[in-house]
Order: sequence, then structure tokens, then C-alpha cells
Amino acid sequence: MQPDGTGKLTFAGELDAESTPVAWSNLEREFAGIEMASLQIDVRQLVCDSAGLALLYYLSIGGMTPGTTVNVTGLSPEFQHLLGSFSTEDFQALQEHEPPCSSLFEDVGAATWSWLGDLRQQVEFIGEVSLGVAKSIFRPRLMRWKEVFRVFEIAGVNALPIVSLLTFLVGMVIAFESAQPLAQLGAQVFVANLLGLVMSRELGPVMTAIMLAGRSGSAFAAELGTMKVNEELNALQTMGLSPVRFLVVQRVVAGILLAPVLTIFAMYAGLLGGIPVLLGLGFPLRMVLHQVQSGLHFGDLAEGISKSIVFGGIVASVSCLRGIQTGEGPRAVGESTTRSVVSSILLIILADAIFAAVTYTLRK
Amino acid sequence: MIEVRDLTVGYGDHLVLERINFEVRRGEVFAILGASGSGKSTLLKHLIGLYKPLRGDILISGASLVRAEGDERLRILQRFGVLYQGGALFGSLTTVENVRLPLDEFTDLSELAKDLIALSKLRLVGLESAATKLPADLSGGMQKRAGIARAIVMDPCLLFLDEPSAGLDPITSAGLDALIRELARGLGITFVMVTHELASIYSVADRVVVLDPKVRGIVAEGAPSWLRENASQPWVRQFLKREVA
Repeated sequence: MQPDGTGKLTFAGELDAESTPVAWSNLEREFAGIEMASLQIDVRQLVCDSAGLALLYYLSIGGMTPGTTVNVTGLSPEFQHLLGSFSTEDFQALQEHEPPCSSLFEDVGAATWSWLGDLRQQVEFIGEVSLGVAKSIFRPRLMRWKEVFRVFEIAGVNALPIVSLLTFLVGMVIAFESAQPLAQLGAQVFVANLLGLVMSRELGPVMTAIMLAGRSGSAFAAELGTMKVNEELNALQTMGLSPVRFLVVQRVVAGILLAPVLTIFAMYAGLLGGIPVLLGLGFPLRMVLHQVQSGLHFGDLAEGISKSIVFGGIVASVSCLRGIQTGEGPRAVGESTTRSVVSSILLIILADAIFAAVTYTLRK
Repeated sequence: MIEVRDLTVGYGDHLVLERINFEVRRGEVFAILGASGSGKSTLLKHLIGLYKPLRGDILISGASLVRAEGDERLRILQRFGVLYQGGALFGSLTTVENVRLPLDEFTDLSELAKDLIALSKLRLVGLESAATKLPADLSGGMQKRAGIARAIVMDPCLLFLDEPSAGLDPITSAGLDALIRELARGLGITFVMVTHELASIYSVADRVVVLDPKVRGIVAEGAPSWLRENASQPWVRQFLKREVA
């Protein structure tokens, strides 16, 4: 800095993304509190990249020396051109940009509107699926049975090991957890009755349906969602084919057929899980089986099976609906998969509650 | 800039290209041409290090991309940028955040410096007004321009373009060609592009190689306008004149 209030800064060497941060902070420290009338920056011996140019630009607009006239000399024409691409207006516009913020009323209104729209779509979808299934029953030739069996195998047969393992373990846990309180009442033998009833009426169908929603429903939603993103659903529509009849009905029929089969396996696996615990408590196998048999009635099994049919239909149709509702962009498929699992589980529990209320009333 | 030596690429037992050799010179715009299925995109994926070749080597500024590992490989990868067909912008980030991403990940620059650099690149490609928009709000041409801005933000000396004109209208496509010319001449960036667009090739390419699936290799190499009249293979001349065989 000269006594007349002018300064001179000479750059030499390389100013790149590695060296610029250090140079930047050094210069900020050096210039802090200094007042100059003008600053001459000489860059004839400087080789720099965009990072170095950013520093030169910041110096040239007086970013470190407010109120100082800054002059940069020695820049080659191509670097001069690049320096021209830096703009204070762009930076200010970026700083001033605030993401759009909506009020609570707007949010509530938008959410309600979206919920009503979703409800309308669900009603239309249920109607279309019911019509498709009914048509397939009366005119089986219309149904693509090959697709039904493919879905049945992927979503049903392949899910058998995991459903069986889970319900086996759940049966074991229920036997362990109920043995102690019932022992205090001297009713430990009724663990077998409890297990039979719980597995056939409640946990068999519900656990199977939840597994189905997590494993197969999410796959339905992701498959149809990807087809939507790839415009395959649009292609079907322009060919005059209904995506619901062509893709959804098969999955719903497969879901309705496979859920009871899986549920029966789940009931048996649950009972099998409880038996080792009961044997370990000292009850003979014959006694355990007798207790299960005496505690269970045809109505209990029928209740479990009917529930599973409804749950299978719910999981398949809700998952397909969420798949078809997939939006645009890479996140859309993930969102529809999540929505399919959440909606399926919610509706399964809701349907189960309705079943519980209805069967309780009927039994009275 | 790039030397491809005896490169053989394929998938399993299926060979796509066999023992091909070519060189890309510093500062030129080099185009890879060929009919569908001739292995253009496969070759590009090998040139940018996404796939490993079955045999042969790819040298970028003298360093082997095929043999390099760890930090050495990262240094080679940082020498070039890639523009993917659809722009490959991250949907959850704004345009300026997409462009800033390599600076955030690989440099210690201040937030201010990173914003200034990213905005300057967006201004270079004519997208300064779209800095805060999400990729979903940009048109196809704008997404490609933003992709170029991201590709050049680390000042690479080499830029690979995968079908830059695909899906664009002629005006946008011509604008993109002009941008490529400006970046090549102004910044001295070497371009390697895979394209089908003959208009783009005649407008920007200094040299081309033509791939033929029948011979699994290069059948012609040279300046596009020269090849159009003088290529030894008749189908190459037809291809470059856009004539029906």
C-alpha cells in the first residue's frame, strides 16, 4: 500500500481449487480494516482455474475492499471472457431467493383437496376392479390366467417360507408369554386353546396380510409405478386397453386366491411354533392337540379364512392403485411403494376392527 | 489426450468391439458414429470408466484408466466431465445445487466462492435465470445445458457427451452445438461425443470414427465432410449423406 492510498497486489503461480481457499482467507485477513482509494491487481504471472477466477472476481467488485476502485490487469482474453461470466446480480438473486412458503390454511386446504381426490380415485378404482373381476368370472377367457399364476407363484409360493417362519416364531412367543400368567390362574393347559384361537381368528390372517403388504404389495406398486414412469400404462391406454383390466385384475384375483392359502400355512406354522413350548412345559402332545381341537370350531377357521380373502383383495388392489397413481420423477416410485405399504396396513387393521365388531355382535 | 489401444469390449462371451485403436487429440471435437447396436454407447461407457474392457487399454493424458485404482483413478476421473443423455440431474436438488455438487464434494472453497463459480457456469450455458429451479421444471434442452454446467464446474480438460442432441428440437439442438463450439474454442476443452445427429456432426466435429457391428470395429476415421465423399465403405458415405441404402 502506497502513502497516497493506492494499493498494488501481484499474483504469481497457480491459483486453483486447492490453493484458492488459503489465498482467499489470507487476503481477507490482510485487507481487514484497510482503507484504500484504489487497488491495482496484476495477474500477468498467474495461472488459474474457476476457483482462482472467483477470487479475482470477488476482489474486482471490492468484496474485500469496499469503496475501493479495483483494476485487474494482465488477464488473457479467454480468462477475461470467463471473468465476464461471473455476475453479482446472479449471486444476489440466489441469496434473495426464498423457497415458496404456504400458510397453514393453504396446507390444510391442499391436503383436504388431495384427500378428496384420492377418495374419488379409490371409489372409481374399486368400481373398475370389481367390474373387471366380475367380467372375468362370467367370461374366464378374458382373464390372463398365465399372469395370475405367475403372480400367484411370485407373491404366494415364494412368500411361503418367510410367512411360515414368522408365524412359527410368533406362535412360540405367544406360548411363552401366555404360559406364565395362565399358570398363576392354574390354567396353563389353556395355552393350547388360546394359541389355536389366536392363530386362526386373528394373528394368522393379520400377520399374513401384513407380510403380503410388505413383500408383495410393495412389489406390485413398484412394478406398476415403473411401468407408469416408462409410459407403458399410456401405451396400453392408447392401444385401447384398460390398465386396470390388463394389469390390476390379475393381481387382485391372485391376491384373493393366495391370501387364504398362505393364511392356512400361517395358522399351522403358528400352532407348530407353540407346540415345542407346551411340550417343554410338560404337557403331552396328545393333550395339546386335544385342547387345540376342543377350543377351535369351524366358525373360527371360517372367520380367519374370510378375513384373509378380504385382506388379500385389499393388499392387491391398494398396492396396484398406488402403483397406478405414481407421479413423475425418480422419487415417485419410492413414494408410491411407501404409500402402498402404509395404506394396505392401515386398511387391514381397519377391516380387522370391523370384522371383530361384526363377529362379536353375531356371536352374542 | 486419449489413446485407445487394442481395446476389446463385450459382455461375457459376446464381443461388441474387437481390438480397436484410435486417438483423440487435445482441443478437438471428436465424434463416435455408427448404426444402432454398433457399440457406440458401450465404447463411451468404457471411455468414462464405468465398465472394464476385456482387453486393451485406455490412456487419458498418458495415464491408464483401466489399470488405475483408488486415488489415482479418482484423479483421472476428475480430469473429465460427462454429459448423460437426459442430463442426469439430481431431482431433489435445484439447478445451482446440482452444479455446485462437485465443488461441495471435492473442494474446500467457501460457500460464497462455490456459489460464484456455479452461477458463472450457469451463465456460460445461458441458465442463470433457472438457478433456483428444480430439474423437473426445466425443459429437455435446459436440463442438458445444466448437465454441461455441472460437467464443466471442475474445469475438466475433457468432456464426454452421450447423444447431446437426442430429443431436442432443431433450434435447441443448434444452440447446444454453438455452446459446444464456444466451450471447445474458448476454453480449449476436448470433446468426445456419441451422436446420431448429422447436422451436429458437420457443425461441431473435427474428426469422427465410424463403428460397424459387422466387423466389430472402426471402418472409417477422419473429418466428417471428407469421409462423406471419400470413405472407402459405400454405406459410410450413405450414412453420412443420410441416403437410403
